[in-house]
Amino acid sequence: MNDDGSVNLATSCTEIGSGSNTVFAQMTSEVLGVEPEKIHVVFGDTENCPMGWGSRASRNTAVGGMAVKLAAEDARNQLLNVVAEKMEIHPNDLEIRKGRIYVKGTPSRAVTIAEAVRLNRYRKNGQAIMATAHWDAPSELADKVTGRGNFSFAFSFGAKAIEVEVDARTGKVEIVQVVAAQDVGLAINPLGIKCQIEGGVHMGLGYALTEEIMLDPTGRMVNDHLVDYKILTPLDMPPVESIIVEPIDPIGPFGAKGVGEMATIGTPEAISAAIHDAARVWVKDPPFTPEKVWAALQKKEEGP
Amino acid sequence: MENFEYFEPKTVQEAVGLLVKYKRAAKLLAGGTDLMLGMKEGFVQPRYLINLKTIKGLDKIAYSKKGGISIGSLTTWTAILSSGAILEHYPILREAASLIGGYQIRNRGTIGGNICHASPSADSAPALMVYGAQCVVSGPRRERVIPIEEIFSGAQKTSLKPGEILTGFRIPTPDPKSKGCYLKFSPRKAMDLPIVGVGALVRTSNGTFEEVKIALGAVAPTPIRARKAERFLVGKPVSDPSIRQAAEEAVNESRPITDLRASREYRLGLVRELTGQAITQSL
Amino acid sequence: MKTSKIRIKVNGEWHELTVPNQKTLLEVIRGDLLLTGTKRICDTGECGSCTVIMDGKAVNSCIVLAVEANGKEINTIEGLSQIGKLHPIQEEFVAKGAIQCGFCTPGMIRNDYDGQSPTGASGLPAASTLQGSGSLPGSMRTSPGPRSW
Repeated sequence: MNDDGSVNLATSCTEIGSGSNTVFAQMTSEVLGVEPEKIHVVFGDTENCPMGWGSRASRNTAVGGMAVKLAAEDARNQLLNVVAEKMEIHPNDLEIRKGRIYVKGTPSRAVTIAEAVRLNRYRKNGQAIMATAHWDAPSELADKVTGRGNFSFAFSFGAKAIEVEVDARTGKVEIVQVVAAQDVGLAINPLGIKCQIEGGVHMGLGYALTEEIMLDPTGRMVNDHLVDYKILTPLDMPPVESIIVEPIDPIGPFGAKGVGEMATIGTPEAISAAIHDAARVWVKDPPFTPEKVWAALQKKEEGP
Repeated sequence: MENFEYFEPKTVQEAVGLLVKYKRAAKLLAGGTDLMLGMKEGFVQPRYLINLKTIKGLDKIAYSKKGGISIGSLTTWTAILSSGAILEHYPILREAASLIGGYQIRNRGTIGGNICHASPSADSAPALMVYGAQCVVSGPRRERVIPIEEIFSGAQKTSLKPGEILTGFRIPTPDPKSKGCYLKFSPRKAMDLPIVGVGALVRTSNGTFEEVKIALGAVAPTPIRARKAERFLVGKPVSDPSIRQAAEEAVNESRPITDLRASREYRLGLVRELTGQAITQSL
Repeated sequence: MKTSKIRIKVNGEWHELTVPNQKTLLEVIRGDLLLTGTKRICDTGECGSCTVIMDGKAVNSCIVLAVEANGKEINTIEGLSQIGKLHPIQEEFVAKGAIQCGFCTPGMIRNDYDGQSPTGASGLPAASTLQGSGSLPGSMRTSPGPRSW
């Protein structure tokens, strides 16, 4: 923590656009009473932050977030201790909110967080307010003999409902609407979650309908341009309704779990099922290009 | 990209002179949306690059009821979409323009570049064909005018002779009683090349087909007119069976290949389906 | 001559450069002018992340040669906001959470703030033309998540 009450948070988690930096600032703010704008998240370079394992397995909020929470709680205790000592009271009699540390019941008896930080430093044997935390999520790898274990401390659940229209004459599949519900534990940043879901759906739709790596017999990619590696354009995206379901996780930081991977999962499956519901053919090898759907319909018409 | 010498001619004659001088080592630059890709990939490595955009007057659109429309070859898709004359009199061409690429491509890509790149799937070709467009070609000898069909000589090959430059298109005013459309089939709603493209222009009278033009893209080495289908329909009653039969004729005239975008069989199926749709939508 | 002298006006300022003829406008913007808000992803005019406004129209700067931009007025993403103050369309992107990793965002915003809306010093916000995801043909979205693109 800096003399002006701002916070430098160095995390091993890399922000790749999923919003982990924002979530960590929110969590720190929640614990420390510092506004999110005053929390500077440092990431991505082991020259100035801890080594990380990577932004994958939907783990930034859930695992990285717990380390952030623990570190913030440690810093909070340091702040309360120094103020309690100065005021000659017990730390439990102090509250910390919106940049101020005050006596419970007597809010006028207060110091700002910045003052508390400076108080801790500018005295004999003074120290900076600093904290480190590491969290190893409770999990058990599968036993080699029994196969039993618990690979993750939390599991996510989701559901997707997709409405399609199939043009039986050309095999073209139009996505009319997508509704995606996702169990995220406590939603730390609902807007961020909805954007993740939409992004994941976009990827899932591409996987389901248009994206494919085509290789020649030597293994070279033949569709190595975006004109033929077809990512859905904004015009192709249907309306996506995101539903956030919040059963509080007993272990995750503030009850939160992960979001990222689940956002894509289920999309191609739902589309395959919807195509079957609409056109009475099963197309199971994505991408379900118009040609594949058309071929399946032709085959069905021809009969056995 | 390899280095090259760069020229900004001020007149067509100047550009022609450069082409004649540097021959195959020279390339013409219009919007660059195709050429730049080829140059970056190394497929095309001109030692001399001639920018046609610096020649004044190659991007003009002029319409008169009697003479029809003239469209300069350097006219961008955005300009075509902004043209009131094209909106009113050549909606099939406007439709084709609206389906090309995205905003950035349309702001740079030109109709002349589209035709001279001569992809079998060139989106503007079916529209130009059904409207009976003529190509105006300048070169070392006198200016010549040829029907649009004759400018294509093979996949990505034009019939332009050394030193020749396509300077524009002339399209007669369509019969006000005719109606048409361009159908582009592709997996996405933007940024795609068509798997199959169908242009149609139709005039009926008293329940009979009087005039029919059908053009197909991406089903042969060049864009083609489906002349057998056209001839079949003229004089036939406007009915589902005759439209279906015409579509069959169009299928017979198509000789698509299987490539990374689609199989031959699927393309033929699309010709059958989309030709019928295009004719129906043009009624 | 295998190089050319050009003058281009970028975000209101004239620049004079000598460039090899095959240098793209994108390379000049990022490499010579150090305006790195404009991004390079596909480099073939297919993704829109290099979009800048040239003489009032959105173009893919990766397939515009620097020599073609001679005498022209260019506006990059940096030209959209004043220091410390975002343009309304940028604020709208932030409010809707449309930024995420942000790599394709400058291209998206430059495509939207000229693609179809009136341009000009009036700074007419194109936020009103943002129809959710429907208004930006020509911009590829690279979504967030475990997969990087």
